[in-house]
Parts: sequence; C-alpha cells; structure tokens
Amino acid sequence: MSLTVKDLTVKTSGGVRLLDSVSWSVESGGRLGIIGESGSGKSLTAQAILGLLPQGMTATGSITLDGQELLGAPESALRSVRGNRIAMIFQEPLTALDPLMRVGRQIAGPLKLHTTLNKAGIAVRSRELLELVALHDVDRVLQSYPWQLSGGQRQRVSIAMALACEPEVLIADEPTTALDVTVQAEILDLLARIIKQTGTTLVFVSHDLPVISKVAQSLVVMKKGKVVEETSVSGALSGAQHPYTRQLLEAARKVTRLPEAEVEN
Amino acid sequence: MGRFIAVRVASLIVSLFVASVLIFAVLRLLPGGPAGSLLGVGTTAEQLEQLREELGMNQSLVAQYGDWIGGLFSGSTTSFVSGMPVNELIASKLPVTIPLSLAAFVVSVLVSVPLGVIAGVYRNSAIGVGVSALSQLGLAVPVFWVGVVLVWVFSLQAGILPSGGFPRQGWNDFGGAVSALVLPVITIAIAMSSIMVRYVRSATLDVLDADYIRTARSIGFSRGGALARHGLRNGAVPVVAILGIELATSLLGAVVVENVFALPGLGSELLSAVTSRDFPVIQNLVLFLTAVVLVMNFAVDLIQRAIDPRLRLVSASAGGGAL
Repeated sequence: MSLTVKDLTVKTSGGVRLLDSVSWSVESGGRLGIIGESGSGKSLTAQAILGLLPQGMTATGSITLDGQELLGAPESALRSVRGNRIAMIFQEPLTALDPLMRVGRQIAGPLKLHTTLNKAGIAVRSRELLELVALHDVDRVLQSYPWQLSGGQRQRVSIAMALACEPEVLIADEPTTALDVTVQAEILDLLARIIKQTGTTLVFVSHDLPVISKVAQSLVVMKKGKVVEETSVSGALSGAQHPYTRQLLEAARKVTRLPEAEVEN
Repeated sequence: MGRFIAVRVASLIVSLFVASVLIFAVLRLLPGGPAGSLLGVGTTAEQLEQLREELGMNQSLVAQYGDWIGGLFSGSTTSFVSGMPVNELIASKLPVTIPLSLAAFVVSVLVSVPLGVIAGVYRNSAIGVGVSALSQLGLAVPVFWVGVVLVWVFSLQAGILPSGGFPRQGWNDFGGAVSALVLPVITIAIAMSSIMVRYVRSATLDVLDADYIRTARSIGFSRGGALARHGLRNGAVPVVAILGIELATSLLGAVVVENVFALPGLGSELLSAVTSRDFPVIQNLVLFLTAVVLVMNFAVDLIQRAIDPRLRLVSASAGGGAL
C-alpha cells in the first residue's frame, strides 16, 4: 500500500502558495518522517492527504494511495478512506477528543462508520484496541471522559481510535509534542511496536529530529512549503547534504547535550 | 448531587435574605415617604404624622422589617394605596407578565439559535455578515423606541394590532389577549435575540474550529455528521448559560415594555407603586422578581450539569459543590 504525493501545491484563496510542488513517496510498511520548522507546511501536507484542508485552500497535484487518486476524489470516496484506510493522530490529545463524550463511544465511532460490527462486536474490538495501546485498566478507560485521563493515556486513546479499522497508513502529526519527555518516549516506543506488529505504513510529522529518528526510516525535510531534501534518517544523522538539514541536526545536538557542570552534579 | 442541591438551596435562601435587606434599606433611603405621596399637597403635619402611625412607619426599622417578612409568609401585607393584599395584587398581574416574558423568551430562542448558527457557519459570506449586522442594529436601538416604531407601523398605519392595553376580561377574551401581547412580545424578542445571536454565533464558531470536529472528520464523519455527534452538545453548554440569563432579562424587559404598551402587568404595577411610595408592593414585587431570577439561575446550573459531566464530576470529586 504505497502512498505517493506528487507535485502537491496548496494555495490560499488569495493565491499564496503554502505548499509548492511537494513530492515524496512511502512504500507499504515504510516509515517516513516529515521534518521542518513550524510553518514549513508539514501539517498542511498531512491535512491535504485526508482532504481536510482549512476552508478556502485549494490543492493541486496528485495524492495516490495504492494507485487510487485521492486529490479531487468525491467527498463520499474520501470519507470511506478517512479513518478506514488512512487514519491520523493529532498533536493535542486533550482537545482532539470530545470532552463531553465517554472514551468508549468515541472509540466506537470509526467502527460504526467503517465496519459491520454489531454492538457486542464493537465492545470486543474496543477492548482489544485499548489492550493494543497498553491501556490495561480497560473498563475504567472506556467509562472515562478524556479529561479524566492523563496526557499519555489520552494519546493512547487517540492512537487506539486511529487504529480501530486497521488502516493501511497512519499519519501522526506531532503526536508527542504536547506530552512531557518521559511520556513522549513511551508513546514513541508504543507507536514503533504497533507499526512493526501490524505492518502499517507510517507518516510521522515532527519538528524534532531526535523524536523522528526513533520511528522513521526515510526522511523528508521541508522548509517554507518546499521539500528541500529527501534522505534516510541515518543519512541525516551521519551527514546531511542540504545546509538546512545540517542546521536541524546541529540544533538537535545543541539542545540534547547537557552542560558539563550539570551532568557532574 | 444531593449535596449540590442542598448547598445551592441554602445559598438561594441566603441570597434572598440579603436581597430583602437591601430592598428594604434602599427604599428607606429614598427621599419622600408613602404618607406624603398619599395625602398630596396641602396636608398638615398632624395629618402626616397620623398616617405614618397608621402605616406603621413610626416603628423601629427592625420591627418594620419583621412585619414585612411576617406578612410576606402570612399574606397579610396590604398595599398602602389600595388596601388590597399585596400577594393577591401580584398574583392578579401574573397572567399578563408571565405569558409576555415567556413568549418573548421562546420567540427569541427560536429566532436567535438558527440565526446564530447561520451567522457562525457562513461567517465569511454575505448572509453571515448580514445576520451579524442585523444583531448589531438590534442591540443599538433602545427597546422602547422599537416599541414605539412597531405601534406606529402596525397600529397607527396598518391598524391590525392594538397600540396598547389588555382586554378587561383577561384571558377569557383569548383573541384580544393574544393580539394585545403580539407587539410587546416582538419588542422584547428583538432586543433579546440581538444579544443571543452573538452568543450562539460565538458558540458555533468555537465548535466549528474545535479539534474534536477535525478528529471526527479524520475518522470519516461528514461535516454535518461530526457537528451532530459532537457539536450540538458542546455548543449547548455556553448557550444554556446565556439562555438562563436571558429568561431573567425577558422578565425585566417585560417591566419596561408593559409601560410602553400600557399593559396591566407587574411592570406597570411596580412603576405606579414606586411613584406612590407604596412600600409593601415595591418590596414584595422586587423580592418576587429577585426570587424568580435566582430560581432560574439554579435551574440553569442543573441543566448545565446534566449536559456537561465536567461540572458534575469535578465538583463531586472535589468533595461537594461550589458555593
């Protein structure tokens, strides 16, 4: 199930180019990282794939899932792709979930839409999904409202919802940015394990090179709406071609290196 | 839940007590008393003194307050002016004021909720901007002026509705009573809808931009489906809060509008009672209006807790309610 983006250009109604001929491809089971600073267009690319661009923006080019053209496809066709063949997880798990709806009903949403499971079947599958994302207190979580869970638990719920219909592609848009560092590591491990286990194709969007290097193999570097370099994660870490990629690498090294004195303490 | 209700009822009683003291005190601070206004110009000091004695105005303030509260419950308080029991007097005015304010409230909800949603959904198009502009206009014009214009158009020019008054037989003359209330209801509803449209619009915008709507769409829900599944309930929380305040406002709007349309309701009664310094009527009426507003707020709190589990569960886990 390959996902290919070709010459994707997104413009505002005023004609401003937010994405400029973005092209990349990820093979079935591949793990692609998209990195860039905020405003580089990485999240916009993710939204364009699902056909969920903000009002007033138009996309041209081509986005194909296993040969099927998604760009310009009718809304009904896109709806059967969303959550079913391509699913997405978002940055802020607190606001991404409805505060007034119990977790159980929210997880049931995609199953009701895309499967023929009855109520009992949905209940069984929901429990399976929560187990998959290592939420073991299943009954309590299903009965909880999102704000009664911790940040990490909420993001696990989001991941469970995204995986509900066993999508071929999972797009993760900065899924760990809103979490604190220890929880971040747990969620990354979880994602890496699940992707391996299910063979799902991953598109992982982040501004953070160390985070991306934990889950992705290949890397697309974006800046100001353009792809400036396509490389592998190991390539980027060992010696990037493009000066911007090198900048990102140096920045990451600077941030992660602790000052000597503090380490001794 | 039981504890929450107990705490709220207690706070309701305390609020009413404080309100009664304030109402009582403010009236005594006003210049002019009931004796002077009852007797008019040219009365002697002895006559005034005698009437003050009869009205119980020479007692200590505490005794007067005690008399009032006692009479409130026994129903024995009578009007200084007409001598009619005050509670009966208020009850006789309710058939005008309650239908007037309830109808105004219902009409403004029916108008402002759809218009507010339209203004939000079509915020960038002519229709959305038009609705917003209309609500600005409705806010800018004074209520009584709207009343006067409506009277001019529908009574004086078109001649299809009465310009004021209420049938002598009350609701026994159903058609007459309804047509007497049409213009007053529209007058209040225009003012109320103008405010409510803005709240509904902003609640709609919040919901439309909410992340959980985006999540629902990323799962495969249509825009309408996502809004129905998540938007209605989330949007209802702030709107219910404002509806409660607006229901109280409609009662107060009735007080003003009754005077424009010469309707024999609580508002007209209050105004004439204030003019004649009829303390028992003013006190009971204002306290009654205060009680209605407080009870409505209480009801709104209960409805909000029913819609939003955060209010329910957070206060429960915090060991009780908020005072």
